[in-house]
Amino acid sequence: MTRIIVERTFDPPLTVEDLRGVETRMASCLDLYRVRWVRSYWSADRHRMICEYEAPDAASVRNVQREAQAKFDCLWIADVLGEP
Amino acid sequence: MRPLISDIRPPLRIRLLGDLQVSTGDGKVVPLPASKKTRALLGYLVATGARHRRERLCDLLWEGPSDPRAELRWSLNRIRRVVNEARATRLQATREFVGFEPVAADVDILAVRVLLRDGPEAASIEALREASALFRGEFLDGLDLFSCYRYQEWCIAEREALSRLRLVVLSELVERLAVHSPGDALSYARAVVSADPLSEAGHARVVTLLGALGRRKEAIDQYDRARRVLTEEHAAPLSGHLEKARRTLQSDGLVRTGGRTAPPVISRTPAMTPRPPQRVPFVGRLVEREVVTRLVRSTVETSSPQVLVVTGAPGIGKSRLLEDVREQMVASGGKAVSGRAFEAEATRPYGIWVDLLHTMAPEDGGELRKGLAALVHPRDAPADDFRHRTQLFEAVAALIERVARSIPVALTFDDVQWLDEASAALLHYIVRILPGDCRVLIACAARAGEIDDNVSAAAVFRGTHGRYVREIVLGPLLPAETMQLAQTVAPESDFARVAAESEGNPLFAIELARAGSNVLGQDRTLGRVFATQFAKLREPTRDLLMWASALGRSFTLDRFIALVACDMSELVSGLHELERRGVLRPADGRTYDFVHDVVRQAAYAEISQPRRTLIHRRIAGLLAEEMDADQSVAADVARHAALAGEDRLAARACVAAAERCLRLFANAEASGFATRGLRHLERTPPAAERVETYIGLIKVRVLAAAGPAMRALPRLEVDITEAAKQAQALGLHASAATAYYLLSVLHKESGHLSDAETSTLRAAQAGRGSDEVTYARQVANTARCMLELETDISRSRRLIREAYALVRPLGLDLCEMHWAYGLLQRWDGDYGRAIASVDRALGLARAAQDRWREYNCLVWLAILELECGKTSGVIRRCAELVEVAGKLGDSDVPFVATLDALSRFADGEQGAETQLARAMSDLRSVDDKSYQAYALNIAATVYLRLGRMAEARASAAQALALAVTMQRKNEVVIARAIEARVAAAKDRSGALHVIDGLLSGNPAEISMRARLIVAAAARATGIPLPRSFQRFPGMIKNPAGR
Repeated sequence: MTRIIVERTFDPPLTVEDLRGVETRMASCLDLYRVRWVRSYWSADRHRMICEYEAPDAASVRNVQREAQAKFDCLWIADVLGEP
Repeated sequence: MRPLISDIRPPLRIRLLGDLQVSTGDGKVVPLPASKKTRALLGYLVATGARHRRERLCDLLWEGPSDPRAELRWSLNRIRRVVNEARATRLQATREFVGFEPVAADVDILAVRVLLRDGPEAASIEALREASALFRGEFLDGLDLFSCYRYQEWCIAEREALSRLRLVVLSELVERLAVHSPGDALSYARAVVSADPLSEAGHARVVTLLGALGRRKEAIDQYDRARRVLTEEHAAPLSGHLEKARRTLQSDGLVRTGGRTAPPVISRTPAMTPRPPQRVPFVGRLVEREVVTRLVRSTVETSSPQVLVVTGAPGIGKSRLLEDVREQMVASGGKAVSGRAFEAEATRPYGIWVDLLHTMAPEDGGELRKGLAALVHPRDAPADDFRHRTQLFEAVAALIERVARSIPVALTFDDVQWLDEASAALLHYIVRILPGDCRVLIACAARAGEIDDNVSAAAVFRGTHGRYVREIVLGPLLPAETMQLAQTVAPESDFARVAAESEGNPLFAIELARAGSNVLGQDRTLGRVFATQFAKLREPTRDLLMWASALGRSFTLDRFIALVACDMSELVSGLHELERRGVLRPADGRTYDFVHDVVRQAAYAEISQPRRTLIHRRIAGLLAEEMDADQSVAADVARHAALAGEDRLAARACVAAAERCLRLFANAEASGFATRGLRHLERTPPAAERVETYIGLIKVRVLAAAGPAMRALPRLEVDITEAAKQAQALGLHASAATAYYLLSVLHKESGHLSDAETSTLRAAQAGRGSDEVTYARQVANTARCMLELETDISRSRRLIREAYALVRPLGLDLCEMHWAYGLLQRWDGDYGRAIASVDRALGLARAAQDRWREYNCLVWLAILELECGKTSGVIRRCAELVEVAGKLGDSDVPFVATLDALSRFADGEQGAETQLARAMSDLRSVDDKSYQAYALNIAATVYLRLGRMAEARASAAQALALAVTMQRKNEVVIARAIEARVAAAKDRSGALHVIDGLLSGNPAEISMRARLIVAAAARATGIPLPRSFQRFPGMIKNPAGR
């Protein structure tokens, strides 16, 4: 499985309600596309987010974002350095 | 219709470029009718030069009045007096048709067309110069009629076309004169940038020409100015022309001006020195002032309400007389409040009353003002306090009466020829309802002639003649009075000549006196005199003037600061200069306004049409940001957006403005906005927002007409039903509920009660239906995902059935439903229906402007066509896909390139294999393993067909590895079948074993495409097919794999 990083920016800042909405929509898609969400880093000013996934390929992660209408700027395949 | 000419005379000259003007052959200007609609009709007939049906002309200018044909007849009578001569009947009218024949008449735009009949490129320089000289201003400048949208649209279109033609002519002159007469070329080049300030090439030409003339400092100044206009003010991208022009300048001894333009040097004589605009004392008008004195005294002493109407030509002194009313009332111990109508706001309900009520002091009744909050403070307005218009009118009347009990009050209304219908109705009500002991003096001023164009305003005064209404018709000042006025304003002026040339018009006299001797004797109009004054302003101040004139009414400093892109010191300095020159004046502590509407119009006339579009776009955008919180600006947004050609914003603003009008019981204005909004909507592309806006506008039209004693309801049932269905399909449940509610109103009003009940139920259902539709959408989406991922197909079938059961009763058409169904039909091998279903989904995605769904539906259609062997269809789809991907922000679409290459490769196109290898490499780099597996399998089947077994095996092997990773069962089966078929030549038993294994699996677990490929492999290796693999219902003859 491949590690995929998704970068997002929000203007205006993302709210907790928006985030919950995306999470709800994304839940079923993740299973279907065999994508596992690992973790996310959400900036204190709520303008930026970096999400880490594990998936069979990058296209699966891209498809999940589109299906869940989760806004993103770019995504890329990553090698993990340091702690997994 | 035959023209009649029996002798040769100097021709009548008709000018349509600039202010409309008709003059005799000896140069004498023919007075035009005061009615703006009549002048507009004249312009229209002359410009079109065609015969028109009377009905068409009525629709153009008089939609609404009870007898438009009578209005038309009246206007034609006025026009005959202007254009017909004893022996030249230019206005040709029969019972059915009206037309203008340019007999013995020079019409400037006709002359332009003759001069440029072979195109500007083929015209001689002399012809181009002559044509350029004919463009003295914008087409029918100042003859905008915002309430007559058909005429207005025609006028704007003509104006823009002629503006573009002028630019072409000027550019052609610049090109031809640049080499041998750069000085000449420069004046035309400056005209180009003045007309089109965003033309980088135009600015570059000016820079180059200045350089060629050795005027390097000016060239640098021009470069700096151009950069500022293009990059800072308008954020226009630079193409390099300007930089290139800059680099051609020599670099010795250049002096930069630091990015700011030095003010142009103005040679001044003492006579032209601008004076601070002192308060002009009242000169003359003794009789009229005596009338005012008696009216004020009567109001104060006898406690009876009085009404005064002052009419006259623009600039004749009506506003000054109203000011005298206010001054005399205050001097008598009373109070005076004022309101002014603006042409730009002729559809803003109660506009004049809002201004007036704003100036009522707090002690005039806090409670009453609270009740009028919707009018006075729209941002803070509570829920509607009034059930119908009469209650609102009663509240205003009560407020005025309450004020008048404690102190006599004068209410002055200026420019009532531009009153909106609601304001006119309220004024009529106030005039009629004031009790006999009420100390109120109502004074109104209107332009003679133009008030007849406003049926509502004219009716106010026609209906109240008798006891209360006194009329003063202001004529020209006496020569002695005019001389006295000129002397007061500018003692050094040639006041005798001023008096003669101004013909007793005070505003004209004041401006001629201020302008000085250089403008006298030049037969100028008032507008041209102002234009001469404007030319003397510093350029930054002229820019401010341009923005102020485009706003169309008085403006607050806050709004102005937000609008203009200059620093505060520049703004303050510019406004001060405009005040000093008597162009602007502070209207109260918060707002500025032009000293006279003629000044505003003169300033606006100086702006070229392309620049007007940009300015109005910016104003519309700025005001639109406030619109959600403050609907009172919606009418302004609609106007500016319309002038900017921003149909979508204009339609949206019309909805907001119309809703506000409905809330204020201004039904006529509401209906007007709805009609305008629908016209704008016709020019916007289909989208979810369009459906919503359409329903909003139709709602206004229906509600504005519904109710007792109202006009006939529009016949819109079919349109509303269709819009309701579209709204539901797009998930716009509130809009759908509104549409069904409107249907119920229409049915009820027409007596179809059972239909009304059905519609009401559907409205309720639509409102509740959001959950069901959302759920159905989610279910269909899940089914579609499963089919794409080739997992649990039997469950996806059940989900599709469930979604269908949910949406069928609602009569809905969901993109996800058709998409999912199409993929299921593909799975089952029914390609004909699959293509139709996905095509339907594509149409719905496009209607909703859902680019992501549109893209994916197109991808599936390409895949379906590839699998059917329709390679030309695939190539066409791929071209569409590239375009849609661009709109999604994806310039790189390797799978689309792969599909394109595969279809060309399957067709045996030269070079396609190399193209395919490149595309596959790109697909690998974006790590899309599923598409890679699919594409490799398709490639393998093509290699197989071509007998290239090694390549077929290699492709299939790669596909297999990827398909296993992605758990794509079909691609695994296909890859293994192809591998086995290729391997059979060398290892028959191994291959047979593999194929046998594939045949023994459950065929329902793989798609028809996979089954066909397995069956083909079995036949090729001589393995008999089990019965389960022999039935292929709905399949096409030649699926890919051939």
